[in-house]
Amino acid sequence: MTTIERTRTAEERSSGTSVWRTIRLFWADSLIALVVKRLFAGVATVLVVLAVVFLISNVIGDPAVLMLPPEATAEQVEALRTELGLDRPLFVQFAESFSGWITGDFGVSTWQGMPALPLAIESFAKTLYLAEVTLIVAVPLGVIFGLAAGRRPNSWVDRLITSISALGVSMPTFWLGLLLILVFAVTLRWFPTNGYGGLHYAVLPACAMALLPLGRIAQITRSSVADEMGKLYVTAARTRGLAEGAIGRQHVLRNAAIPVLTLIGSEVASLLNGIVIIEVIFAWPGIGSMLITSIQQRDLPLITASVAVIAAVAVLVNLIVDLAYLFIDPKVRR
Amino acid sequence: MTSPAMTASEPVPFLSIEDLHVRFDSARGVVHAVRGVNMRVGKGERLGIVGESGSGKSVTAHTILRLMPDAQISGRIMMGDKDLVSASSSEMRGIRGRKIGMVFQDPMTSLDPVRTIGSQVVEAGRHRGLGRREARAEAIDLLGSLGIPRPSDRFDEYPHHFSGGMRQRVVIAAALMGAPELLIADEPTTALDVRLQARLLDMLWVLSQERDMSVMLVSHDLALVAGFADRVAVMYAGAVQESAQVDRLFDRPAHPYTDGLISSAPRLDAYDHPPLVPIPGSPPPPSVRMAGCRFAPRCPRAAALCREEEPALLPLADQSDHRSACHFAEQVQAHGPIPAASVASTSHNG
Repeated sequence: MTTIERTRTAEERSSGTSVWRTIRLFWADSLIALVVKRLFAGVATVLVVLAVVFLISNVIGDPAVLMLPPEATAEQVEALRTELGLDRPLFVQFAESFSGWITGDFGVSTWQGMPALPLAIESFAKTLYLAEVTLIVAVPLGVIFGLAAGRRPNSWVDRLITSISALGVSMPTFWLGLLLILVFAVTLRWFPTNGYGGLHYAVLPACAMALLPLGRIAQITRSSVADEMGKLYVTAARTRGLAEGAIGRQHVLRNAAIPVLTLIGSEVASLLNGIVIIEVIFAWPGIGSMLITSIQQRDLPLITASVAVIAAVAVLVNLIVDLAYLFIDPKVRR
Repeated sequence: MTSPAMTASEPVPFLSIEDLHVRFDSARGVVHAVRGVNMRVGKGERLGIVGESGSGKSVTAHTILRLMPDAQISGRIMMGDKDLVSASSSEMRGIRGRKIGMVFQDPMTSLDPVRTIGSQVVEAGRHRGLGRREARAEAIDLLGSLGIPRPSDRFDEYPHHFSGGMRQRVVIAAALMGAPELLIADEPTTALDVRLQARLLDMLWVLSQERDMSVMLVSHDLALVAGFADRVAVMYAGAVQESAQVDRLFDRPAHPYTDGLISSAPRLDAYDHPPLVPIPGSPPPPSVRMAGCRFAPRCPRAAALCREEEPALLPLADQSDHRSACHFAEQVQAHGPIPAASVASTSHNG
């Protein structure tokens, strides 16, 4: 496939008739093209999400009425509507917002009085810190547990790990968060109950959030490893005289990684959901806390900017996972 | 089991299996998959093992390399003076690949999909102590001699770039890289089309000849085995029923089951062959206990003796390397299996 394309490209370059075609043929095969295409698709995804947010915020009621206290007069409401431009037709408002989204201008936060996007990005950095600590706990431990269990299905190690991961998967995150606060912050006083700061502050919220992805990653790694161990290529490698350790490292690990990678991608995405509750419980000033407050404040620009940041991150994570496939699974490459 | 003196015509055994039993625990009780198999493979000999599915042929083949961790094995598998049944797992690692190689039925799944074929072919060579470059050069040679075009280009490609037939060649190359003295081929061509089957077996035949390598070809296809093997062992219900030099087995079968297999197999070389006669019934499941010969319920020759006493695999009077596990081996060989009616009238119902 590629060789045919390359020879064709060479021919056309020498004849010099169609430079554009040459570029296109090169483009069709390159990694950069894939990334650029996916980035465009990602931007489109984010815009669709924002359009939905726009729609919902207009469907649930007149934004001006919702922003003002209940005792506000009709004149006050009308004045705010004019001030915010809410009196114009909806599609004009949408067009204006849309052009703002494309240029990265989400307007000024009505609650903070500052541009919304920098605010959202700044608080996302704090969320990222918490998410990093969570993932550093969840991913390696999940994979290690899963490997240990999957290598020897039905052994006591497997049974222990399977039960722990079932517990992790079925425990509600917010409840675990409260439990951790009660035991390790209130009773034992090892960690602060809430607030933002160094690693010390991140331990409890990260542990509360890590248990669910840890359990899921362990479960999938286990079943994936156990599946691969039963495949014929493992037996075939054994008949070539390979030791069990070498079979594990050279053959099983990489095959088993494919479904685990998919899961890690979706776990990162759902981590961004779970983090909203955890940030509220631990008073962590991340994007989750801010999203909740901005919804309470009916701060439409800030809501939109926060959603945009979260959606963009989810898109990026998916892109990174897809690129990782290219390195692990040769069938994805052409 | 009596072990008759070897005759001069029989090659020195490379591997001999003596009274091998393999059992598995299952939810529905113990499955006795292999019950007293006796066979031997000579140095450089091509042995065909024929049987229906469930006859224990594949389990026997896998047991030689001890590939089934939950199998309960008893009996002996002697390679020289080493018993593979009691060998440690590190001893088995040394034997796998270097002494005994194996090729499996399904070429689509016996290669690791995420590693290049080259890296898998060299493995056994590296295990044997070859350097990286040496192993690569030898692997490319081997792939070429197995009919893979442009082997040095294809060395770094992945299994999904290859067709089924090409993959099976890669699998064979990977097994041969360890320079094994015995290659166990478990239905190696079943997944391929007929034309490829013949080509691949021809290659295997030539390779075994060149390398003086023994081959154990496990197959359900009698015709395929006939064209390849020097000697054939016919398995039924977990035991060898008859074994003989290939021509002798086909010309003068001494077991009603072998006779039934031959009459039920279509032949391409005869326009006017007699109508195909299927063997009635089906083999007993391996979990069933029964007295006497396990073929008796399907046998046209079965007499009262057959239902009471299990016949041993014994050499025929006239030829010690033709063995049959039938009480009436000589009669079957001389006259063919006699229809049930004539025997049933003389036998008491047991």
